[in-house]
Amino acid sequence: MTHLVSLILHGVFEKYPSLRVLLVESSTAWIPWLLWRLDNNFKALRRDAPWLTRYPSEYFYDHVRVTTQPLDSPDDSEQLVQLLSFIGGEDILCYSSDYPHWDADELPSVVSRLPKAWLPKVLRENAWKLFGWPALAEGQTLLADAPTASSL
Amino acid sequence: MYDVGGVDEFAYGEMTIVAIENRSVGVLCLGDDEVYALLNRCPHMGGPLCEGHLGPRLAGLPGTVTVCGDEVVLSCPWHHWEFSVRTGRPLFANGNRISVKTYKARVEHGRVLVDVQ
Repeated sequence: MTHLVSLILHGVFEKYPSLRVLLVESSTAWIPWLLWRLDNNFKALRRDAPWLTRYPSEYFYDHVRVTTQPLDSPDDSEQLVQLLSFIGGEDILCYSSDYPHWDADELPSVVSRLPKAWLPKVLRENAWKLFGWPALAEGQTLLADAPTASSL
Repeated sequence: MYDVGGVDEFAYGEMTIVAIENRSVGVLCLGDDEVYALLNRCPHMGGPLCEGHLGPRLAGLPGTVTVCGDEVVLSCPWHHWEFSVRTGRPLFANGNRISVKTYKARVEHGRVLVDVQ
């Protein structure tokens, strides 16, 4: 969280507009709250970061993606989905397992807790775009046994 | 147009608050022919905006601060939201969805006139 606040408010994305950042192993549930707080306080404290030309959250959406692990685990997983929907979780999240750590998130445990409609982006497309890899041909997969949205 | 006083009654660069038709209006003279007027009510929570700090706009590249002397900024004393005196628009967002109300004002024959219509 500290690093993200620093990257945004110190103007790193203003100075390096092509920079993209992937937050790894940082969890996710804190992000909506942080972006709300940043945007709200920016209205009062803009003078402390006068090089920013947009709301802080706008830099986040354009420059930052977040890995899923450790995916927060409320008893009702729908609560997490609702929370992440506020920040467009479908377009922000990139699957990660954190294997072989003790708290690794195996793929089925993540797939079962996120909307099926999110999975193509979360499991593949968001990271693909982030790293700037060339587009796959229609129907092409990286591995013969790679899971597809329809198989999950 | 409402006559709110002689131009020599307004200190240049200082906000003067006047009452017009039950409105509290801030009047700012920057010269004999440059005067601005805006509603003394912050669109955020209704604070007395025109009692706030007047100053230049701060901008700059990351890590540096540049004083933009050609733009006058008013910040609300309650929560420090900043607005351009000339346009009424907030500095922190594009668009004018939460702008402060501004009024046409001019100096004529040494008198400051404000149109609150």
